[in-house]
Amino acid sequence: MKKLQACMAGLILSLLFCFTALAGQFHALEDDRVIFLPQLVLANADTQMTAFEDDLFDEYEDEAQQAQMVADPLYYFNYAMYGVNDFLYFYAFKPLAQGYKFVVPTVARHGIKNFFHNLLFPVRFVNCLLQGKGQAAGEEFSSFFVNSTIGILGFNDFAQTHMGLEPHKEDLGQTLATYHIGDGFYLVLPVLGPSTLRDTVGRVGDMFGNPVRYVSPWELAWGLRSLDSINKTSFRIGDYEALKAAAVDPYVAIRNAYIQNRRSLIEK
Amino acid sequence: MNTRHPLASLLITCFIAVTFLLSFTATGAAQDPDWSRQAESSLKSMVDEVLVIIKDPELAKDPKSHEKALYDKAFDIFDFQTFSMLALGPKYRKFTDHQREEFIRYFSKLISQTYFPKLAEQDITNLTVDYVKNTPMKVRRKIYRTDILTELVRKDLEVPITYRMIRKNNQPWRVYDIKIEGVSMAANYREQYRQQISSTPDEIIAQLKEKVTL
Repeated sequence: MKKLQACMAGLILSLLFCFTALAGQFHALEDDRVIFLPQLVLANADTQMTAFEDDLFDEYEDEAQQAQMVADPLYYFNYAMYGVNDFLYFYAFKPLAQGYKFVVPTVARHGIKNFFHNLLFPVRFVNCLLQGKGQAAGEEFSSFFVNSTIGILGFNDFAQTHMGLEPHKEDLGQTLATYHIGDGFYLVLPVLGPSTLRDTVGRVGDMFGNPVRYVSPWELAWGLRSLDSINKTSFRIGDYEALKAAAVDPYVAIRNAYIQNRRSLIEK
Repeated sequence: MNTRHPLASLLITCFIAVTFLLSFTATGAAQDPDWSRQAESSLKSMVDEVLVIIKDPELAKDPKSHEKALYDKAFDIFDFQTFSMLALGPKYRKFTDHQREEFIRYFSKLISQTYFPKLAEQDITNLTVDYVKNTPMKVRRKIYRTDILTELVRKDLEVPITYRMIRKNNQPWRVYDIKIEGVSMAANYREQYRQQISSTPDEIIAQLKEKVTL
């Protein structure tokens, strides 16, 4: 008798399981095919939404733990520097870049941008190698070779426009990150802007790969650096304003944007 | 006494076999890229429609009506409810239904006044959008999601933009988050709100209202 009972219970249980599994399966199928379960779906709509909320919240809690956050122990210093940079942008860099943009034709600005980009080839090349990205290093080398010759000293990015060779944005900060060195903490550098301890170290290291550093009268070197940064700014007028306008808390927004952007570059 | 009835064993075997089979077909369905391609094609038509509005010479004459037209369009593109949920993070739970509506109303305006000018900047005539990569996510609770990486190209300036798409309950595909150069807008707001530990929902709404110019 006991055997029979157990058997019946087993039968009922397995049938139940089968049905729920089947129902679940129909859910997973295209929605149009769930016609025979409409009430169930409707009744579940609300609970489904809260469950979806839970899923979303879980998902980005994970995300938050591994990526989004960075310590900011120098908050007061950083905030002050953020203020300084903000002031410098609106009262020095932006007006300069606007004037520059007005005077220098777009073609020339693109040329100058390409020239400085090409000049930084050693930094990208070395960091590709340090990260073990052989193919990327090879592509960088080809780009440099082609742009320096056919592209006339790098003023034309022939490699990208005609050969489809995309640049690889690699720097020492990213290399260190691939060696599992963490951000350390957030740091706002005067004039240079948002960074982290690791990325600042990387920046210093990368300076040695920048040919501008070895230009002999130092006035010329600084002139070149200023030209590079004003030229770059001339392409990005409005971006900073937009970010600030959209932000509820611009300082936090910029910090988070920097970290997220770096994460995405490191992943590549 | 311990031996099972042959019928029970048979049933159990059947049950196990059936569940296995079902779970296999379920994972098979999850990897099926059919629906993610659907998402991509609807994103394409959305972007094209927006570009038509942006390039419209009649509308361009009056910035106010131009903004308005784009804002109206935004509701056919974005799932502002999910977007807001992600932007607020756990704080979303503290909002009443009415407060959620309010938040969504202002948040939608803020997003459209931030995002569309980004598309419309400078040389619109040379603007193209390349569709680079489509990364579907696992289907959970009948909610389909996929990340579509695009590249906004103007001359030799390229901006990678990822559209995170969602389809729930057989509704049309919508965008619930945008990543520009790897920066997710929703995550960016979430971090900002996370820092404002003590603000109440009403304060958050008021603060947002101030930002909105539309």
